[in-house]
Amino acid sequence: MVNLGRKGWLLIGGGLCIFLFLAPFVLRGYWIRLLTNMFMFAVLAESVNIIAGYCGYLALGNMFFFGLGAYTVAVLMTKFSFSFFSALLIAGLGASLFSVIVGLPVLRLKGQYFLMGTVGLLELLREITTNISLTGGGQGITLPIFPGGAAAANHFFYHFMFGLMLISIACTFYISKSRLGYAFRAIKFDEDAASVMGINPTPYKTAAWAISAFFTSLAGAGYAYWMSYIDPGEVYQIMPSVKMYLMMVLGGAGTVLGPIAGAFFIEFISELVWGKFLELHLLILGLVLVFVVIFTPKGFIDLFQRGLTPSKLLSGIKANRI
Amino acid sequence: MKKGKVCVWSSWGVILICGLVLVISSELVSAQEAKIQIGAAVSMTGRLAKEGNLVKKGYETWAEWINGRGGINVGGKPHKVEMIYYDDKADPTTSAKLTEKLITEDKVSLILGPYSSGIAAATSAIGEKYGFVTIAPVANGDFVYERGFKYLFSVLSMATGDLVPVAELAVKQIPKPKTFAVVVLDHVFTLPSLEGVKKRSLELGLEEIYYGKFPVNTSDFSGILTTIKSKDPDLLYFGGFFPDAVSFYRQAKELNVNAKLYTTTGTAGHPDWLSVMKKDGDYVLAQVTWHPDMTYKGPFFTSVSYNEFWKKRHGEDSSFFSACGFVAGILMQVAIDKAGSLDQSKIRDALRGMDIETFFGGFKFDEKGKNIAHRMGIVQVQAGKQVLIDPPRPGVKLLYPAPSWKER
Amino acid sequence: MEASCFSEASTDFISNHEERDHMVGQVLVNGFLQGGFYACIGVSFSIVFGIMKVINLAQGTQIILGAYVTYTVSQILRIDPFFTLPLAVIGLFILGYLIQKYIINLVAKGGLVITSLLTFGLNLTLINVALLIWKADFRGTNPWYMGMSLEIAGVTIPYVRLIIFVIALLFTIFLELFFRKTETGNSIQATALNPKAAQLMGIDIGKTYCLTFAISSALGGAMGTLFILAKPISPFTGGDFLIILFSVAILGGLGSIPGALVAGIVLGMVESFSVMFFGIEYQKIALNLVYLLILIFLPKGLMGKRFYG
Repeated sequence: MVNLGRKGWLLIGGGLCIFLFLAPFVLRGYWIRLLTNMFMFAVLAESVNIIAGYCGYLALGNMFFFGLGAYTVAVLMTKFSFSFFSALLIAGLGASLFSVIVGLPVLRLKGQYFLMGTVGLLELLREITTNISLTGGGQGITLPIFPGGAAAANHFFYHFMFGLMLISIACTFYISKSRLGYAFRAIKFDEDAASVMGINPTPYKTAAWAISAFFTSLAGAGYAYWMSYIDPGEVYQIMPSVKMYLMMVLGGAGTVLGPIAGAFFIEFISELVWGKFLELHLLILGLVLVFVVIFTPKGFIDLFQRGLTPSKLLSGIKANRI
Repeated sequence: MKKGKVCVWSSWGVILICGLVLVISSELVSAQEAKIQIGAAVSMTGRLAKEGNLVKKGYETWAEWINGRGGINVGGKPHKVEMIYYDDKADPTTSAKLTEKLITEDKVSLILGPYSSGIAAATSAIGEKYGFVTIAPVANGDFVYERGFKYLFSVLSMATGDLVPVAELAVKQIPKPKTFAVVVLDHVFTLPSLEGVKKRSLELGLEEIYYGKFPVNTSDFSGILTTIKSKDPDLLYFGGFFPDAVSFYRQAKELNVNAKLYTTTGTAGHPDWLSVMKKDGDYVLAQVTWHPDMTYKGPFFTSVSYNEFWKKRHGEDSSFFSACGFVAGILMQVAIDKAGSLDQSKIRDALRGMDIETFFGGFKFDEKGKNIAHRMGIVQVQAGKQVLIDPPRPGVKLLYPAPSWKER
Repeated sequence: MEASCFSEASTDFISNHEERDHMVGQVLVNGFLQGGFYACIGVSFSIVFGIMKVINLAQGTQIILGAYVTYTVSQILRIDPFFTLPLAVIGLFILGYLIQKYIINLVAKGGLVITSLLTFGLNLTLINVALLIWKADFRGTNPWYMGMSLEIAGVTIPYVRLIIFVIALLFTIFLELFFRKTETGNSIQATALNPKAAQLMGIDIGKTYCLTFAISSALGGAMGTLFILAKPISPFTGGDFLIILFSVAILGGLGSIPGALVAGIVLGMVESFSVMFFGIEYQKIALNLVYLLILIFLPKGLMGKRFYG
């Protein structure tokens, strides 16, 4: 491929960003909604990448931060008349705080237990939200409608998610190059060895989860305001949680842009299927999951790197099969 | 790292190509035709499927009927109606997304509402966002109408009044009941009606000896029933959707929990109640939004003639769910006629200013969209038939107290 | 035959003390009976987790598929749903074996994320297949003994619940005997303990895994049959089982069948008593909290050690 050098790539990246920034002014509502959704999932995939891809802690239930963010903003805006931005800030920081507190017992669990623990947390938070009146219980909450009409709302949320995505990419990039990233990778590789080498895992794992929680909950907060109506069953759902993993694995866990590419690809397919084959939505998603996991366990970016040949596809199986 | 850049380049390339393909393919979609397309996201499958399908049947039959008369009159010109249905699987988020799809992609001219308050709460937010009128056919949870929406209208009066006549009837019976138990689904559709009857019961001097709120998707009522059995209430008020009511009363029979009077929110007035529960469904009371034995008169039908028309078309009595759907169509049609156009804000104003009687009952909307001219009826299932006992009619009596399960 | 000790009309004369005792008794029995069911489904999940280290997120849906088999066959052949049990068992056994052989075995060594994502993908696929065939409506059965119950000492025991309990218990005991007494069962245990050593002894790991998954699937299918005798199902009902499966597996100690039995009954009791003390709205919360507490404080289960440790 053409060697454009560092400057060349930065220019292309910058050009894309400008295009995407201006896009809502030329595209129809349907596209704006689609892209906004893609950006949101990109944020989610990138957040899960930090705790799972880099740090190796598989928080399958990470979605509960999304729900927390959504409900924090919903309750603050409806019951206490907060403005969106102050509620947003509280949602993000609150989720991080929650992750720190909950992480105290939960991050001590290893491997599959941690995974199951996060799933349990997801279920627990959903049940609690369904049963207390503050959150409107099973009836859900309606948020104030974004002032200014549908078009303005669409633009706002587009840029909101776009910005959030850029920030999360920048954050991940910074992590990957810094001591934090080094510590994360060490923990993922072998936590005991890491502590022997002088890296105390606990503050690092906690930081990883807190950062992940922050972005995930901001995405949830934006989502709640965007949708104007949320209920517990929707924001505390395991499906998007698994989708995040799929995107991360597909794109390449532990890379900066991998989850983003994975998110775009999966959301694109999802939207296509939703539009044309509504009845087969779950089936296709399930089959994609199965195929990705069998043939590209290291992600398709890794596959591109090594060359896209049939034998390379099968090598994934050879490594993992019984 | 060259290889790393290759990956980034390829992935962005994939994204761009996908994007271009989508743009090009969608521009090839043909323009809209000149008739009126009406969209409705209803529960064709899922936990609300039975009721949702009945509402859909109401819409379909109305569309057929109005087309048979030439169509809706818009400013003097009749327009035929084409309905577009999507299945929301009884899920509010799905319904909201489908409603948005109907408005932004399918570009329908009008929207007819979904079944149930919870789902209407979600879709009406979309309608409000885009300035589309939502007529909710069977959604009378008060909360739904307290959000300051201007484009939302309810066919029904609010739920808090639904079961009140049951309490009033009960205290007139001999032996006079003293206690009641409330079992209610935690949902915007059921809570208000049970709260309403609870309040009225307390006002009438009855004592509440149990109050249980169960979450959605509860299928095991043994815990609640065991507690109720030990407290032995005279009146049993139950609020939930069709599968909940079926499970609850089946398990009540299983665990031999008896009371003198049983109620459900609407479910026992449902046609499928009789076929699913068979003899076990007897004696239960429910509110009905409409009943063929009512005596209303409208511009096109009376209660009786509407039922005759429905029987001729479908071979059976109209359920009240279908009647709600049918009358929602009529409301839309009358409003458009009055407004003289398909402009949503004009339709909204026409609805707001309406004060009419139809085969279904009266319609007059307050500024929140609630129909303050409508009154629920009460039926009791007697020997496999849903008998209208309120408004009271000569010769019709409430069967009280209900015999115990073992005695039937 | 129902033995009625008290007719409802005489409850006016029962003192508060007896009322409460009856209620406690009833709650105990409800929990116990339900616990048997939980134990058995927990076992089906636990053996896959313990032996293959795979978290089978599709287990709930496999149970429901067994229930669908029952529903369809009993409708078509017009027989009592209970008699379709062998069909559900065989059908799910075959399904499980094929899934393991052609899908899961391809990634079995891939680690937690890979296998979890795989089973989740399978779950989605199975749910959608069920959706396509049976739609999203709730399906139930109406056995002739539905609603009939036994009355002993003031406690009502519905026949259906009793049948479910007895059958679940039988299956559990049978499975334990299988693992302890038969050669196949022993070889499965050996594989769990040390795959490499087992291979050296000539045990085919691939086949062993297939057998294990098939057994788990078949057991799930049987439990599905029992489930639909009492309650209606939809393609999404499988998800409701997830926390129970996790809880029983962990509380019982991975791979331990007697442990799962105890754990199942304990959980059944927790569920039942939580309704009595806290009200139905907190039942699920209580279950979830208990689950998390188990994870954090008792990850090795009640017995404190793995059964083959």
